Amino acid sequence: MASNNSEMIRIRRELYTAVANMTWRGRLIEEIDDYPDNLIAELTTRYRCCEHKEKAVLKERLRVILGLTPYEVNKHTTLGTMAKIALQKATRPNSCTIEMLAVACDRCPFEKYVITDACRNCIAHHCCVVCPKDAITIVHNRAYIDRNRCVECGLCERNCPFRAIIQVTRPCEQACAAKAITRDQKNAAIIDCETCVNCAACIPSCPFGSIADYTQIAQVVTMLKESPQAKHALIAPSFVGQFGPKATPGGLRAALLELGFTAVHEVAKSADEVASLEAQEIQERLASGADFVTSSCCPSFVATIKSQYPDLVDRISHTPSPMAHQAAQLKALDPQAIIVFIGPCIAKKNEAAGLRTVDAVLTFEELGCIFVAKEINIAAITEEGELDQANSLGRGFAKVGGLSRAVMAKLDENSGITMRVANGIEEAQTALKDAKAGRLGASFLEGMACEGGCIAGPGTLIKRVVAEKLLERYCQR
Amino acid sequence: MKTIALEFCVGTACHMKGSPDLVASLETLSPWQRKSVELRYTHCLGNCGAGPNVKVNGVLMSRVTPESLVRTISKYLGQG
Repeated sequence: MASNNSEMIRIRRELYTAVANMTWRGRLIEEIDDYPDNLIAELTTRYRCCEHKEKAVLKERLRVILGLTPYEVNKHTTLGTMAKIALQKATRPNSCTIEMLAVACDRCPFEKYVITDACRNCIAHHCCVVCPKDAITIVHNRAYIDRNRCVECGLCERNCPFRAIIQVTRPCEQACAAKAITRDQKNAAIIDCETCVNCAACIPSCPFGSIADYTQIAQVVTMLKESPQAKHALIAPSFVGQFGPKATPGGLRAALLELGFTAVHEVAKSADEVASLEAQEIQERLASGADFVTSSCCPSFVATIKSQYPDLVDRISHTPSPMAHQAAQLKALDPQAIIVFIGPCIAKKNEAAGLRTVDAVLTFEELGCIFVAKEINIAAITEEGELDQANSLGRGFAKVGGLSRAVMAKLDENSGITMRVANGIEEAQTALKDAKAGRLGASFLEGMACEGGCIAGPGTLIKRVVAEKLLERYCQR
Repeated sequence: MKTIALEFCVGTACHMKGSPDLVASLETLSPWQRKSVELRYTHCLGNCGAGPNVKVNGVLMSRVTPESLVRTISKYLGQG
């Protein structure tokens, strides 16, 4: 959660809530076309050059919230038609999860080194002297970098005594550890879907809010309203404290039942079973000659291995993630049941798209907006009790290191199995590089793309430090 | 010592509109200012459409931002 982006978060939640509200009232198709106009009339601040641009950006945002890709629409498709397509669409999530909204991208400068007004056109001209490619000349009393010659070495920046040369990187490119963000011919940022690991670090990084993830808000609300089948809510271990200091686990369960879910499950219960399966798999695979095994529950970590370390793919554990495990169990009991996973994670949307068992994925943020749209106040529900049954080992999965701790607890004391924990995508990259060179130094690698683990995920509602304290207390219950 | 009573709405609507940021903003107060704050949570202040809401010494403030909250507190308690 990036609270310093409060304005972007406010707009996003307003749109989520509006879509959920129109869907609850059964008026989505009829009302969504007028929504951007009504919203702009209400807004006192303007973000873009003109009303037309503002409306174009809002239309794109709403398309993504409806879960439609640019390939499913054309520029003449109205929002009402999009809503119709969205509601008829099978409830499967998209295989691509994060989109760069072309119309919203401000095409930030991408030249790495820029000469600023602080240039004094001095006599020494350190910049010109140190440049190994003779790319800097003086034009109109100021240093000028010839882009065709510049190799972006940075010597000029370091040698200017006035610090008149600055280094500029697009925030989205800087945030992307997978290096999946590039530029199109018009210099707008684009995401390479094949390289993207869906970690969502780019979304809060963009100060224009031009990166968004597809949602299934309208589809889930429609299922809750209309589907006769059993509807299961699977709540990720990181839910603790997400809905505020007065929302109890029992209150969350009651609120979900009020929304229309038939049953509420704590995924931490499955996480504990997954730890046992994982412990068994590690022992078997090490016995049959494997040098190490990696965790499989963080989809961004798994995607990082698949796209950047293809040699290590066979080391990924075959044990399903807690979400996949629990969904498979529930679908086996009732193949008609609707399974909705609710968690802190955007990459889970992508994982679910590859499974036949999970019908929809919501983030805590999206669920919160659905509650607001239905005027359900969890803080006002004084329901005691648990969300569901789970133990502290499973609940500990929410925090980085929790998976390793649970697996260790399932292993024999003298198993000789050692753990390495990669906290965040950068540590994961380092660990995988070590692993590739045969220097991992452990028999099991736990990889978490979010620094801090799932409780620091992009779909969370409270700060990591607060969530950590609350989780610790919850695990001790 | 002058004290200030803050009643934060942490109902779901205000929570989604940023009440966690308001509570966190108290950390930016000076230590003596923080000692003068009496903090309470409530589940609704009856103005959900205009959240986040805070009652400051019994007076309802709506659409509160971390900046406006800290400004109000500092105005009441003084800078010290």
